[in-house]
Amino acid sequence: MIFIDVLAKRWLERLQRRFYALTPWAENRWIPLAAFALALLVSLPWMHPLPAPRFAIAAPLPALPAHKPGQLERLDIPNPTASAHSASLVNLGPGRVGAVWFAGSREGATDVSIYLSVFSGRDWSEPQAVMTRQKVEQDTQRLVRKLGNPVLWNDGNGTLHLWFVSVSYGGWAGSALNHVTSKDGGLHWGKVQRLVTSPFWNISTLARSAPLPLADGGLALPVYHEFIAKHPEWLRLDSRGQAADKGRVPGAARSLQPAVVAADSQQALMLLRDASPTHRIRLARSVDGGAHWTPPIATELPNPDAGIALLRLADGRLLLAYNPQDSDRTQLALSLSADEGQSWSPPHVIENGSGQDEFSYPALLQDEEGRIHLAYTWKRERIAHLSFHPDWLKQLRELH
Amino acid sequence: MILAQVLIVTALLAWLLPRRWQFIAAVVGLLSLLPLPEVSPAMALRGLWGDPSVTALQLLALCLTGHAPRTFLVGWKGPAGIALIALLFYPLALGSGSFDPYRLGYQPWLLVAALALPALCAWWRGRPLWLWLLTIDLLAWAAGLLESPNLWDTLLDPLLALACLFLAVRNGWRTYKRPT
Repeated sequence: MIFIDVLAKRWLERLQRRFYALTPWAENRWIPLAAFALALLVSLPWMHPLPAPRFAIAAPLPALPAHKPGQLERLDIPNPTASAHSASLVNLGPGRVGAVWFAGSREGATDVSIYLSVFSGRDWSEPQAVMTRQKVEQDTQRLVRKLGNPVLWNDGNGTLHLWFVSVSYGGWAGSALNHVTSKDGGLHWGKVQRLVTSPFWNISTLARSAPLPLADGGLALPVYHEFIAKHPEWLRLDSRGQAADKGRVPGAARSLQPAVVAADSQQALMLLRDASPTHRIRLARSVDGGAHWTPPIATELPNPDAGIALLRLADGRLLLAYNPQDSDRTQLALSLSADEGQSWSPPHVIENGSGQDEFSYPALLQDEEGRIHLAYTWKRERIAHLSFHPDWLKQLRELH
Repeated sequence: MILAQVLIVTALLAWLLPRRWQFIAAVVGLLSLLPLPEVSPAMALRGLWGDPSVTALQLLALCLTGHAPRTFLVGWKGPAGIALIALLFYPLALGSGSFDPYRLGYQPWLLVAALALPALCAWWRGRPLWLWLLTIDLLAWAAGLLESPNLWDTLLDPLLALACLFLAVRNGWRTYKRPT
């Protein structure tokens, strides 16, 4: 041991002598200033303020031929594990829909993975675990204890984007966001990238809803924060998927899981899950591409501190999926708004359970053929899937 | 940046061990890269506190090579300044109020201007340390050394803030309560 100690000291002394041999130039008074000027010059390209955000509005979907209001078609997604939660849907082409969710022995267990299944128009494919805890650990070079809240998005240029949260220690409030892409429709996925969005050990940013594309090629991802103070945030990503800006919704304490739809390139509407004793879905608006938001106001819509889904239909109306109760998640319902969220149709109940039944965390999508898809957690056992022709919504409008 | 965890482990152990045993700190630091059944200790630590800031890395490197700046070794004002910034910054960034100072770190011309002013003043008075720290931080940020594109993560991290708080209290105590 003494021998190693002597060797280490000699090595360190040699290193120090060499370092000192280099240092005289650093004694020059003007060298630090010159180095700082150089650093400023090098970093200037990244210091310019971003252009004002504008939403990229997708081309309207083709109108479906008139249809006699039929029934809901139900085809649950097969789940290979005991527990399933938090689905996200994405368009994969005419009539094809992709779904991701997290599943394992129970929520928060170390065996939870993120699964992907594809709906062909007739049935769902065998679910594949597209993201495992082990892959995330290896790709991000850090311990990961659990995975959750996947959000799937198709950029329309052949790339699927998947955001999900991972936790190394503690509960969901310790979550960090991750991003990974696939160029082949979800068969193979690239290296998982950690998104750093919070300065305090990068906790706690979570996502639940689909992003909105921006005109500059970037994205706006509605996210929320849970550590100490729950609140929604507005994460602006550049075209490479890197965080480029972050905004806060004023006066939005105790609300989370923002679901956002754009009305045009500037205006957007945000609905929020309510974790306060008010138990009402909250609503905020932006008129400048999401750069600023109004303080959220409580709507008439009940909310038992549970996730919601919001969709702008091809005809411009808003469709909301939510639990229309103050205190539990035994019911799941749909409501329509034809006036940008100022008023909503009475809830049309889709699921009506009792006791400990839970129907929650809905996801909504209108596919390229115009059919509307609703996926949600069914008693924590699997992901239920309903689809229907837009004309089916007439029964909601009649109540409006 | 997993190597940054090696530096942290080495520095923490070197601080705890007697001088003649400090080489053990470097050995243990390197051993923390060895994969245990699932992940290496370095990966476990990275999961806990993420990557250190470049400021922290610079100060750790200076300490480990025997060049700890006097500003941090015996002074209290420098560490107290950083700790004070952290005490204001973290609560606001975590959601206390509507203002999020973390946002200033994305296109950080204002943040750089605010930091460059005192650093240039200190340099003018013959203390170039702060300007050097800021210079290397900026270069590392522009080079994308860390996962985070936010300059705040290059400048500051919670471990650095804790260390500065400790140094400010310890050095301040030694300065003003030293027996005469």
